[in-house]
Amino acid sequence: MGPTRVMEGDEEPSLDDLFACLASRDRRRLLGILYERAPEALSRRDLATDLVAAHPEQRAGTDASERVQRALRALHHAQLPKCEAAGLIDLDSDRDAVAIAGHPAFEDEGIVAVIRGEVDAAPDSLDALFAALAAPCRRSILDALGHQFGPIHLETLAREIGADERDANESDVPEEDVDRILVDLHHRHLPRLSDAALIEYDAEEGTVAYRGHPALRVPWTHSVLEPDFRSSLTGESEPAGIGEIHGRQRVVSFGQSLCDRANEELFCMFTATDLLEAGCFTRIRDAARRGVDVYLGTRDPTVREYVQEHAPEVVLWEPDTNWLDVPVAGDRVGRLLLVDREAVMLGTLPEETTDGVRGERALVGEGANDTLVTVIRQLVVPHLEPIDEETEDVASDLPF
Amino acid sequence: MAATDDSDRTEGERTRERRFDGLPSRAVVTAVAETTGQSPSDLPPLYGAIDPDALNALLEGGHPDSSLSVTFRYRGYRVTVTSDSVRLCRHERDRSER
Repeated sequence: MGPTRVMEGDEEPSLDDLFACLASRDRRRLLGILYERAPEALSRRDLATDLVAAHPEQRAGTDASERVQRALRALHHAQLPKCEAAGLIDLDSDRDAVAIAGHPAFEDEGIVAVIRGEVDAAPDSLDALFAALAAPCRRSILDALGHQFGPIHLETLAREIGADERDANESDVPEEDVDRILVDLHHRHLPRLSDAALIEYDAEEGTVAYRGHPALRVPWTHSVLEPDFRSSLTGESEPAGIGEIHGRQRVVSFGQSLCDRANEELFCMFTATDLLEAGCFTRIRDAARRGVDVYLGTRDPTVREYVQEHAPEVVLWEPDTNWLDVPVAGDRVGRLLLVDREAVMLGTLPEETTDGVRGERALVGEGANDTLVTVIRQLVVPHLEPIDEETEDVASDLPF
Repeated sequence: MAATDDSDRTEGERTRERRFDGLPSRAVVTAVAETTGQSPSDLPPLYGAIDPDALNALLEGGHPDSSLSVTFRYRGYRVTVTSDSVRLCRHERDRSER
């Protein structure tokens, strides 16, 4: 039995345990081996032998059998109990059999890629990433910062976290809560997130900004979408057909997770600059870097300049404001995402943008045959070729 | 990481002990802030002295009679934390660390 812990707020022990387990290269390796061999169960000795064989050690002077012994001890005393407590493995000590458990994490392609060693990131950097994610407060921080365009003040962040904890308005968070959160942020959470290179923390200025990690996927950090994340992992209710999302945070979060899953093509359009938050841009850039064809439509010169400098792979185009205006009085299209031509998010902004933060809503469609996806694809795809041609024109003007 | 023995305390060493509820990492910061008269946010991150997550994981919610304690240095103090108490101990020669 593990140590008794005092749970705080809406702590999610299962996600915490999952990420804490993933924060070690040895445990990622052993989970990877068991995942590959599933549904087969291995004896502890076989697992230790596989671990040693798969990763030859550079250190001279230790023979193989001694290394297997050492791996066996580490498995028995540390790694296996921890993985079992997190529900990631089934351990039958009497029969000496270890097998991968039916944990929803293994349905997440990002997590599977991590344990199979397919992620192009240094082991230390993955250790730091998962250790940073292994606390609900830090996941909330990343979520909150991912919705900001630039650096924000510590106190603003503390109020947002406090409001999130209490499910209240930011102005209703008591000062003592803000003070307590500020202490935790400054002394505990922000230095760790900064060590993991997930954020930039300027302790002098008291500001913090989102940076992101190429292996980080949106659902892992999500406080707002956590129930959806869980259900998508467990396959409880696979979102089918057209759905509606209310509230800017949810719209942004869903959009970011769409960017994360793009494999071939990502088409985005933002009619207002402030709709493109830092977290969104990081994900659009990461998609371009992993080889996805990214089209970004924006008229804002600052954003265009920024994209040209930081993500030259992204194809920029200027949306003609008329061609996607839905002729409904009042509301207008704010953002549009079309991912791999099979998933869509169409966000609309209310006319009164003073309260636009709470007013934004979006239609989402999933599946190549979905009605919304079909409509948007027919609207968008004819525009892609001209966009490509324009870019080629620009390229052909270059003196070669 | 061992139970400290302060019976051989020497001259010039000042010790303060206080009990706390809640997170050990917060208790350390509060104790040092009150002793030095600084605001908790003006102190350098505790993270630079010890991993606060590890400290909390070891001590939080433990049995009060547990013999487990953690000792480390922070802001010129030798800080000893158990599941319900923080003790700050300062050596004269550590003054320069402030």
